[in-house]
Amino acid sequence: MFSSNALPALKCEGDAARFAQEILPLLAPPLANLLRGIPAPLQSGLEEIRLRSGQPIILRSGLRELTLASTGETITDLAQGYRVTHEQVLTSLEIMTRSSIYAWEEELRNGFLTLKGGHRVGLSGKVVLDKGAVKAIRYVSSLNIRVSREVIGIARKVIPFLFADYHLQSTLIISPPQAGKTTLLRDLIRLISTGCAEIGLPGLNVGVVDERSELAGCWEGVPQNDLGPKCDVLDCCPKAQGMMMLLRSMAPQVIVTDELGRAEDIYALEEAVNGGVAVLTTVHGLDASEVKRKPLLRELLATGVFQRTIILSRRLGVGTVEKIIDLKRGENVLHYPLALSGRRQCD
Amino acid sequence: MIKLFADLTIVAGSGAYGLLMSRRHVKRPQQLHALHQGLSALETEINYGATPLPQALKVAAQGIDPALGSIFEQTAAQIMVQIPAGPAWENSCSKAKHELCLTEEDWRNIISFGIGLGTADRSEEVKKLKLVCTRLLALEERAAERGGKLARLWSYMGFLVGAAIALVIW
Repeated sequence: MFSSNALPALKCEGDAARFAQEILPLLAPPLANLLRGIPAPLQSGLEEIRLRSGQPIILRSGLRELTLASTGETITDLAQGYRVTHEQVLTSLEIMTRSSIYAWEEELRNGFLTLKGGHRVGLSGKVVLDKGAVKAIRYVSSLNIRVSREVIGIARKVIPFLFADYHLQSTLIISPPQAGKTTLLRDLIRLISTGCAEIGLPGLNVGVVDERSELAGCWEGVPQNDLGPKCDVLDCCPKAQGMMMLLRSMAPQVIVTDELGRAEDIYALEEAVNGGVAVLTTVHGLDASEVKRKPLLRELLATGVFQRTIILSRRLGVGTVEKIIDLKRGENVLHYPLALSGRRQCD
Repeated sequence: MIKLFADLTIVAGSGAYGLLMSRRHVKRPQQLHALHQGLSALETEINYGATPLPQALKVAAQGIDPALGSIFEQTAAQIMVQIPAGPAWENSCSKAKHELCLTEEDWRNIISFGIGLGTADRSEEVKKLKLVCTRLLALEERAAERGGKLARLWSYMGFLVGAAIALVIW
C-alpha cells in the first residue's frame, strides 16, 4: 500500500493539478476514474503510466513501480493490479489523438506522440512495413504515458563549467536512459536563452532541432516547455537537416539537439561548429569510454568539436553529474559528484 | 354549415399532409446531395491537409444546409470533450434525425460511416469516405428519380383523399 510519506520530495499541488487537467482527460473513462483516486503526492510525482492490453496498469514514480487495485488503492503486487483491457488502450489512444490517427502518421511511425502540456506517449503494436521502412503502427497494444515535468534551475550548477573565455563551450552530455539528460539540456537551453548574470552570460540566440519533440514538447507547433525568450524550435525535424536550416536562416549562436547518432548528424554538427556556433547535444552511454566504443562518436570526439563532456548517472538520484571533462586539458573539472535538484515550475 | 366546415377542414388537413410528404420527397435528394458535399470536403481535408478531425469537420460543415452542418459541428464539439468520433457521430445523427427528410436506409449508411471514424491511417479513412460518398450518390440518384414522381403523387393525393373522405361523410 502506498503512503504519502513514501514520496516526501514530490509534494507539489501544481503538479497534481496538471495531472488532473492534462493527463486524466486523455484516458478511457474507467482508467481516468481509477487514477483520480490516487494520493496527491503520487499524482504530483508520477513519471510514467503504462497501459498494456490485458496487463495490470503500472505507475512509476522515481524508481518505484506501483499498480492499482480495482478499488483504486495503490499496491505493489502487480498480480493483484487492475487489468487494462484492449478496448481501454484503443479508446485512450483515440482520445489522445482526438480521433485523428491519420493526422499523427509521422509521429506514429516514430513510435510516440507529444500531447498538450508536452507529455509524451510511447506506443507499440503491430508494425506495418512499406519497402522495408516502418509505415505505421496498427493494433496498438501498449501505451507508455511519460508525464512532462520541467525542473527549473538545475542547469545553474552546471553552466559555470561550460563557460570559458567569454564563450559558451560546445558540450556533449553522456547519460544512460532516464538519468535526466533531456531535463538538464532543456534547462540549459532556458538559461542560455535567458542569460545568466552571475557568470556574465548574456542571453544568446538558441536554435533547437527537436526531432522527437522532447525538448520543447511542441503541441500544434507551440512549445509547451519554457525555453526562454531567444529560442527558435524546429519541431519534428531530422537533426542534420534542421541544423543546416537553422544555420542558414536563423543565425543561431548556439544549436541544441538531443540524442545524436547518425553520420549525417555528425557532419552537420561539424558544419555548425566551423561556422562559429556553439553546440549542445546528448548521447546515450554510461561514460566517455563506452561512447568511444561507438565508431561514429569516437570519430566525432576525435574531431575536437566539443570542449566539454558532462557525464550523468542516477547514483545520487536522477540527474547526478558524475564528471565534467575539459576535453582540451583532458581533466575532470568537477571535483565531486553533483546532485542536481531544482525548483519545479509549479512551485 | 358545420358539416361544410368539417369537410373543408378534412380536405385542408389531408391536403397539407400530402404537401408535407411531397416536400419530404423533394428535399431528400437535396439533403443527400448536401451531405455528399460535406463528406467530400471532409475527404479533401483529411487527404490533402491531414487536418485533425474536429477542425476538418468544422470546415466540412461550412457552406452546407445548417441542419446537416450541425451533424459535423456537433461531432467536432463532442470530440473536443474527449468523446470518441464514432459515438459522437452517432449522437449527432440521432439529434438531427427528426429535422431531416432522410429515410431509415439513408441513416443506416450515414451512421455506419461513423464506426471506427478517425481510428485508421489516411488511406483507410479516404477509402471509407469514398465508399460512403458512392453510396450516398446512389441513394441520391434513386431518390431524385423516384422522388419527383412521389412528390407529385403526394401533392395531389392529399387533397384527393381528403375530398373523397369529405364526400363519404357528406
